[in-house]
Amino acid sequence: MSTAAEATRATVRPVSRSVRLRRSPLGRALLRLPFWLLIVAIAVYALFPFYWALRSAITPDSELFTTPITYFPSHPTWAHFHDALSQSYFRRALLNSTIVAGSVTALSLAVGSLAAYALGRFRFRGKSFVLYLMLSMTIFPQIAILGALYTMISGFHIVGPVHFPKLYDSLFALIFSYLIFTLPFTIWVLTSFMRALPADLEEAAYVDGATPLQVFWKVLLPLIAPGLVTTGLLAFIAAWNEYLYAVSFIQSPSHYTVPVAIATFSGSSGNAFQFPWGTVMAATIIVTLPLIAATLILQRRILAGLTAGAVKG
Amino acid sequence: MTRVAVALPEVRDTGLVIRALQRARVDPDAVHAAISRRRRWIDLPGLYSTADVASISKLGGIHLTPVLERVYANSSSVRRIIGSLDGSGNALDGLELSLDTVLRGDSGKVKLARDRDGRALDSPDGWSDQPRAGATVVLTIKFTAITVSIEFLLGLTIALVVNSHFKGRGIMRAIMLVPWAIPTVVAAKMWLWMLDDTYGVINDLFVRTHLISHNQSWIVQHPLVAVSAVDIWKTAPFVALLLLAGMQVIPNDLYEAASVDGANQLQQFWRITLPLLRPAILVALIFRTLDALRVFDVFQVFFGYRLGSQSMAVYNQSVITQDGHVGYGSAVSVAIFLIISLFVVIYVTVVRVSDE
Repeated sequence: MSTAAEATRATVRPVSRSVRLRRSPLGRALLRLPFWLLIVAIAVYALFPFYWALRSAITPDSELFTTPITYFPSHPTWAHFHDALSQSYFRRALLNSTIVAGSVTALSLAVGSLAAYALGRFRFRGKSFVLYLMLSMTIFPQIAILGALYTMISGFHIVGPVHFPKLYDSLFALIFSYLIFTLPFTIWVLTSFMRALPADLEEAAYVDGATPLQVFWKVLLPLIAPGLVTTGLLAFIAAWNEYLYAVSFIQSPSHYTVPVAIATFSGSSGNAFQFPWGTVMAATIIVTLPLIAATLILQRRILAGLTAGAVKG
Repeated sequence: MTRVAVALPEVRDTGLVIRALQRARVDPDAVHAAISRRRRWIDLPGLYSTADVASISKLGGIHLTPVLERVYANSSSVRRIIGSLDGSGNALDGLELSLDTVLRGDSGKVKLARDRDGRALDSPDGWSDQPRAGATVVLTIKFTAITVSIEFLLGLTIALVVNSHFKGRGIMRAIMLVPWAIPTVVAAKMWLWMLDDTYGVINDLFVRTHLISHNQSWIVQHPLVAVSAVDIWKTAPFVALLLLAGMQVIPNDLYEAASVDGANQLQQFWRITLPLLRPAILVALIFRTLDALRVFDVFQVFFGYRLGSQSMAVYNQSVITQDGHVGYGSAVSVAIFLIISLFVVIYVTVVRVSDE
């Protein structure tokens, strides 16, 4: 059947009921209703567990452990937050995680930006091999190197006659092992940022007599600042959330990071009969709120960073 | 199930301990025999349910040793097929019996010395028999199949909805990033509480909407559903974001040309969106499969190191760090790596074949 014939038939046909519905404003709103219901359903699905943790954190125990359960606390309280923050080992874990994730981010950015300068701006033999090695490292499963890392971390403190401080059960072990997966990612993303910069800027700086390091520091680094923010945040989140290595290399509670502390949490208010869910939920809110805030503020950049490699690659 | 032992020298208030044991339904004769025999360490006969003895776990002098057990379907219609176990965990019929060798695993034997006060001493011999996990690989692959397929379908749906133009699309995308930013361990804890058998909101919602007739103990009765729920919640929006980014590079002209030619929405989806989205889909599927096959956090938080409920990574980690068998553990690591590579190879070949 030809399209021309169809078109003429369509003009002859009287206006159908569905078309009339689509033309009136009320009808259009009605047709959009399922769509908006779907949008609301997706938003509720994504946010509800977080809301539930918040609700459980501000509901007093007397109300938390009763049935039927209430969806809105009638007597909100901060007691669970006080309880969570009064645990010295939870505060300690927050500090530990900040130290670990902060150092990992700083080191990845420092080493990563220099490596990206070399990989993105200079030509040398074996460059593409290094780049592909980096890429393959980013998808390498962490569990596959656990055995090797475990041996290294528990045994490598003795080199010949010299005894270094033990790595096992120290925060250095975590910083060292987290760099294994944050560094390749940082280098890969920053290299693509470096490559995108026009060569003219750099050449102008060289003409003015700048050294390579000055070019890096004064010209290129400010230009890739958006990339530094994105990769820095992604590295921070990865290090803050990591659990496998943290639970494998850390033994003493004073060196726990946040995920390990949350996984083994047992608050003080809990008695022998009831697990202190309110306090645990307060602790989860405390550790996720900064992450969510940072994610929401920087969401456009994060999305760009996360999907840059994925779609074109 | 739990074994109970009493270390008399550690008991401060004998009366309190006796009352506590009675509350936990320990046979009174055994209790009195235990208290009166004046030995330093007494193993009480029989097994006790974990819920019963939870209340006495903090009393001085009482030692609890968890005994691993197999969990099976509770509803009668399913039980016909899946089969059932007798009280001590032996398979009686159905799938449980026919797959017994796969599901069972072997419990290990360890040579252990106890000193006079009942404390375990390190034994120079260590393990005489390694415990063998049940169906670690099968369990992980099942988990991967469930989560990756649901995450992909859900993610595609979400991406299609959010891809259309409406007010608040930016806010929607920000909301979709929230589950991704929450640490997996934290997400697992949140869901563990939501899935609670008495005060959990999931039970409440499902009972209110008559999807289930009475509260379920999700962790015990439907462990795979429970862990999958966490993973799907955490990553389906992320898969949607990946696919969304892929959809936004598809030029709008194609859709305009298609609608001029009279193609309806469904035809446009099958003939334009899906083929052009293939690279993004492939990347999303590969990344998700890799992640799901090496899943550790959720399983470890939900089930600890319980035999039969270990993912490959949990098993591997426990072999290396708990038992200290680094050599064997590294072999397991390589095996996991090979399994993961196998999946990548399958994906890449399947997609290349359908390209031609």
